[in-house]
Amino acid sequence: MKEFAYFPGCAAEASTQEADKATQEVAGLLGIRLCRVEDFTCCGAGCLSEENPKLNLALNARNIAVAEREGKDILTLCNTCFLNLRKCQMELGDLNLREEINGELRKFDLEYQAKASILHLLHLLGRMGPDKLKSMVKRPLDGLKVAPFYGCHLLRPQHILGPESTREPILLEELIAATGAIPLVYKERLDCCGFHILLVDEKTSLQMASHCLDGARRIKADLLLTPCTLCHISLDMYQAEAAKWADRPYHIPVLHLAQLVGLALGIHPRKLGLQNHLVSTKDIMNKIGGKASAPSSPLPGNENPDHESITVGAQ
Amino acid sequence: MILEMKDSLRKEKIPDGDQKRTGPQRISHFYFYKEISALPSGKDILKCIQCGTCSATCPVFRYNPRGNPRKIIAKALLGLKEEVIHSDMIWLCAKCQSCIVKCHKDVSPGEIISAIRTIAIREGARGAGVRHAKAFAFDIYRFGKLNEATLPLVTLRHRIVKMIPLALKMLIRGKLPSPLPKRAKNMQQVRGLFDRFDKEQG
Repeated sequence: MKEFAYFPGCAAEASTQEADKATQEVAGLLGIRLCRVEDFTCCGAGCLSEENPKLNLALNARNIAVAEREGKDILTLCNTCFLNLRKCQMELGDLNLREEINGELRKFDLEYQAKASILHLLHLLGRMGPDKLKSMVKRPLDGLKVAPFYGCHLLRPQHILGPESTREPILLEELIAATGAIPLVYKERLDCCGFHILLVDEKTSLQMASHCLDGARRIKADLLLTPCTLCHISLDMYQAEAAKWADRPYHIPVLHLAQLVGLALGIHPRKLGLQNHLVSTKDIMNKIGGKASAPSSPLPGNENPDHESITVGAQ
Repeated sequence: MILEMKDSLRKEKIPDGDQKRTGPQRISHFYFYKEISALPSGKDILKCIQCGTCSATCPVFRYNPRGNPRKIIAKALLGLKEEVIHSDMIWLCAKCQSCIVKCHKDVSPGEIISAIRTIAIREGARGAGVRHAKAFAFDIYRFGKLNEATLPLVTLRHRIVKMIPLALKMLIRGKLPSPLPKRAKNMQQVRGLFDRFDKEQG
């Protein structure tokens, strides 16, 4: 069983808690142990590094050092956390800077040693291999048309994010295909959802979100799939507002990566938090013949035997 | 290339800090580019050849002509410091990193905008963008985590009213963040780092 220091990010601990919930469910089935580390702080989301770059570097170095003390790699759910932690690793390649930061960290018996690696849930599932996922699917999502949406901070810039990020990513498509659904190809899949200016310039931000939603609507996607909790806020929570600015209605459910994988693995939709979305996900459930269209669903008790058999199979 | 050469020529002519420059206000910050390139994120500003690739790829510029990365860099290079740091232009960057990938001179326009934001905050600029950035430091100092419930309040102030319908919808779906976020453990370590590195910046 692989162990990870779990870094869900501030969004998954507040307004997109369903991503956290779904990841824990999926990890349980895949035989991955997620250890909550109470010491972790916010990654700064690029805002703290604007106010005080060195402080941001020190805080992220501390986050990584805490994981290193426990001898674990870090697993994130949020693209921005992923970028910021990787960026910190890159900047601390400068040994003078690393020594200066470590000088402070040693006061708390911590040391950044560049040992832990930072992983995003998408990369973890990719490393496991879509084939393994395919063999574990309990509820094939046949016929579901899924539009993948990566989110910027998982893709760019390559010199910080390393070899996992490419200009033509295919990992999300492979995972969608492994669940039995149909991955769609469209131009906007690598675009920006506009989340980071949502509060500063709402109009522009929502126009950017509607640009991405337009893409998904054009190819008649049943749902958008994103590995990023922040893209989810922009595309799901603000979808109705984006529709106002774009002057056309949208109804595109947006799922977290862990939720789609969880559905395919046969986890109950309620446990994956599908009822928490602002854009209703009932259509999806009807489409895959889900025994559970959210509210009038059977009790979780029915699911338990399934769970156990899968867990045994996984190990 | 030419600009890079010019830089080496300019280096010799930097006046002492105390020496007051005469002339119109607009050129009084001729060495603004020095301030930017002194920061790690802004170190490549002089490589810019103003080709406009960044603006062509910028998704913000597609919808809002004020968010023009090439223009921001042009103004910074011209030394229009006051105009740049007190405008809302620099706060429109959505950090999509497209320009950083596309720039063939490796200028990283997005990073330069970050550097200009750093200077703007240091010089006491005001506005929604500054409040948004400062809210992060405030929350991390207090809780170690971001407080998603108060972030819109701090950034939008009275305009928060228009978020009430959305907040109600979130409440129904059980997504409304708690006004008291989870606290990180060992906050004295976080505050120790704040004390150390905030002081250094002055």
